[in-house]
Amino acid sequence: MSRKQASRLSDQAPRFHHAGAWLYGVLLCLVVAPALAQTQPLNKFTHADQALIQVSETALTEPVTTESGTVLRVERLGELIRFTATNARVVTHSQWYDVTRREPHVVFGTTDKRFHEVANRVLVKLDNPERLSVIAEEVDAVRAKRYPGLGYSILWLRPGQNPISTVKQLQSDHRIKHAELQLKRPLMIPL
Amino acid sequence: MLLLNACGSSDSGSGPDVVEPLTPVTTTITAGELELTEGSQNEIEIWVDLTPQVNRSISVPLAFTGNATKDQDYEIDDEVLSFSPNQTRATTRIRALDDWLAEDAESLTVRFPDFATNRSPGVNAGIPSSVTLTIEDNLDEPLTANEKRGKVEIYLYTSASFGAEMATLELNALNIGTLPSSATTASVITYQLIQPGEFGQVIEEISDIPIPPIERRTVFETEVNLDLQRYSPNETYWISSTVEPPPEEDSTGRLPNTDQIGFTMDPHGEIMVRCEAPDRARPTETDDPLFASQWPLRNDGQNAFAEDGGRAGEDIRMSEVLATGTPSGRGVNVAVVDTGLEICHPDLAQNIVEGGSFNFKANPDNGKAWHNASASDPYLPDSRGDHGTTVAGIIAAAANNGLGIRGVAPDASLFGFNFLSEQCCEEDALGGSSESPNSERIDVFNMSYGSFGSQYNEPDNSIVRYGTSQLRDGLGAIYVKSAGNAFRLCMHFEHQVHALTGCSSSSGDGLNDVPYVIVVGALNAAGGRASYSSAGSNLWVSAPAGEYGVSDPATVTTDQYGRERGYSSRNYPGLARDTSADPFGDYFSNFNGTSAAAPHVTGVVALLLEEEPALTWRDVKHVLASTARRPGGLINAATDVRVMIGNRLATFYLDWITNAAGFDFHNHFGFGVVDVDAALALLRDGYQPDNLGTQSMSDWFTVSTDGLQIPDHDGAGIEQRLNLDLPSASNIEAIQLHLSGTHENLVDLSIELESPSGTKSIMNPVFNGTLAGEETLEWRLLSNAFYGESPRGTWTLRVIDAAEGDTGTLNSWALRAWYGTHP
Repeated sequence: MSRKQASRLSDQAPRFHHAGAWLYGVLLCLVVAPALAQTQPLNKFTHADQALIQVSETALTEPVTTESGTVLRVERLGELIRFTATNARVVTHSQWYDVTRREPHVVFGTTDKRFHEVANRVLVKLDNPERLSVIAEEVDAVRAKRYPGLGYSILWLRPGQNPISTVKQLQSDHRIKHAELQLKRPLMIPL
Repeated sequence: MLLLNACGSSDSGSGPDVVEPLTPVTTTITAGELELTEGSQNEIEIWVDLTPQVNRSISVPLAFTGNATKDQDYEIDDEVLSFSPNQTRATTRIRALDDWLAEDAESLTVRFPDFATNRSPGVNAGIPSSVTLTIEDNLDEPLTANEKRGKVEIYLYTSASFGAEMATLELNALNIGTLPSSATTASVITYQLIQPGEFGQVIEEISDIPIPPIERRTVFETEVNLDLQRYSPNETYWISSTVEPPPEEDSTGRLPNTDQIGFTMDPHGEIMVRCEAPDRARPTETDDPLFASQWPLRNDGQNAFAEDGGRAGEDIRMSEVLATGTPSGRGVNVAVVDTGLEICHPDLAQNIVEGGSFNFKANPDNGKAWHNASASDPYLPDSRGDHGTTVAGIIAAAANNGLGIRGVAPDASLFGFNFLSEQCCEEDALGGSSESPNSERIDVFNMSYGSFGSQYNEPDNSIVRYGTSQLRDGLGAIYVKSAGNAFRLCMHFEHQVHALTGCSSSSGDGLNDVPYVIVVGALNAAGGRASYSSAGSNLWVSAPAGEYGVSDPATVTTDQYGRERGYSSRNYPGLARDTSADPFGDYFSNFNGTSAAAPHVTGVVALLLEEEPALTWRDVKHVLASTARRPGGLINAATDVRVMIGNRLATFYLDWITNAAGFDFHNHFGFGVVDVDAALALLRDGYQPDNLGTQSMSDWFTVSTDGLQIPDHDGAGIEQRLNLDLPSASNIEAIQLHLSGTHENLVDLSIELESPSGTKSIMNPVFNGTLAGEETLEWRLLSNAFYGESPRGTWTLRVIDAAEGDTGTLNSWALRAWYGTHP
């Protein structure tokens, strides 16, 4: 058995090896979640013509309601995090993440009404692209690459680095014309 | 007896009119068959015979009785049969109309009317004077709301990262069904491969890996670590992973909840991550010994290691190239954007551009890099088959080297980008990068991959748009992509219409819905649509790929070399077990999928670019569309298929159309199967490159419908019109439709667009699994069916809700056109 797997089994966090136990855990969480959504400032971004709302656990400690009436919740269950969108008390979308792999940075798309994990890279457009390496160093990016033909550059962040706060930092930098989150793509498979 | 000619005579003269006596005729009626079944696509011929032969025109009306209702239960071509002078037989045809309802059989009697009162002079009813037909129900039950809610299906996809001491297995559990799954567990087991089909001891077994409930169309990722110190040097191991519970095996024999990968340990006890050429004697012969089995290139009806052969002539028609050896793709740079590429493979090495390939897993800054991997060697450590290596052989395996097969373009220059192993960085893989890798120098990108159900794919769209406008010194790179293998992927529910339209359309992958990509469907060796090949209005052309290589031929291509590696190390029949035809285990005879179709087109494009290097990316599309042919095999239905929904007929399947610009189109095939001989002939017949006019992309023309209710279970649906004020002298190159709306179950919807010229295109088939269970519609769809027509004028959108229950609204829709000015 692997070291990682051994650590899973010795963990004190609740374990759910059976569907019934899972269901119990989910129900428990829904019961203890606040019945009414709270008012909370929302961090908003734009990607591919879609407005995104930050819902990562660090940003969303209470359920919030979007302008269209969707209630967004975050729950932690042991090694897992669940993001849930509810409309008229019906769960319209939910997404689980295994936090032992990495802390997920998640946004909610206001158009497609789905949760998306943010990729650990950031798209930037600079007034002076020659400054890319300086910018990369300042935000502690692990790698940077210019794509002159495409008119932008990409910064790769370290594992564990928060791309959402990095984008916010970059957006407030006058040397940077544009900084944008990158969403994790759907899984691409050989056909 | 009436003996007067009603019209009289126009003879000159002042005498009385000459009254000709009418010869009496007798009519009889017969039918080819007496039974029709709803939904069968069959039709009955009704013949009316006249005796004797007479030299005048006669009309014979038909009358109908019984409990079957015209245009509800059946349709008929002609209710009045017209006989020209001396004609003795006339025919009409009756078809049953399907209604997807359960009902009793209906009867229909076709008979002659009372001719005496029907103003049919000189016509008498003979015997038989009537036929009675039965219209049987096809016993379809209407879909219930629960059935439409669909099912759960977990698809497991695994990948691995290899460190010096530890391998990390990433499990991607993807719920491709339409209902959330229940919590479950996964397990992983590793064992030694002794030889193909024989396994040794279990090395590691990890069970009870928790998998939470997974929302429809979402993926849950988790990972486990393997201790590489427990694996011996020079041995090959397999890793099998499973998500419980196992699903029922479907008709294709898939077990989607399991996945396997393998790896080989090198002499130093590390996982093999670099390609080392095998030590083999040079062949003394020059022929490609497996060419005789390459039916996609020359189909003689050979069986290609399957039980049955195909249909002679159903290939890419490259007889001239095979005879003369030119063009061969020389000087054309082709990137295989895939899982990997075995650059030392004996049949590929000759065409690999030294230092040109790129291993996306070799970046040391990447926490998931493969230990010891070389940046210029996209070697796939997974020993159970490298999809990219099989794709590469189809494109450019060397010819006349005494080994295995030949590619379509056997002198093309190959670059391997193992983009799929990293799932990242399309800028680098698709032409946006000038170094590490230099993808800007690529002429043709082969993309034999896809994704499940994505309505958004803007980043890739911008990159391929850049590539088509800027690469190849502005002529534009060519992107060739697989349509998808979802025709039989009924992950929601199964319905008879899926046999015509497919379970899930090719529009489930957002990158298929942009005009910068050539989307390719797959054909089998009999010249029909391959059973799995996704259909849709975004297809451009089709190419051979085959079935499964068991009863019917698949594609024979290169495999990871050696008996213990590659697809051939798995439990496949055919070439994998034929040590005389493939003595070293370097080839595979069961490769299929639209993954196998796309590289045939990529190879063809390489031939065209060598023949005429000045072709723009639009020229390439134009030449392929202009010269594609209708495949000769059977198609699902040779007529349009209409169904009575509520009280109105709705069209859910279109047979081949010929649009107003003269292009044939079918959602199963695009413009048809590529034809190399015809394409080369067109180029050599004075084709002028870059003569299609400047391509323009219009703004969106938008119609706000503000919550317009889509009538439930009503074939009339919504019919909306939109005028595109665009140059009338222009020619459509693609039309994109954007829809915005909500519906309690979008799977109910069929979406059709009609051009100002009257050409119809079904852009979303009814009961499309891609939309099953979805409630929010924000979708861009592409149709190529209008290619060459004028975009100017009034377009018509039809949205039909074909199932009872679940309702919704259309909030807006919009069109935009790509167009040029074609000679």
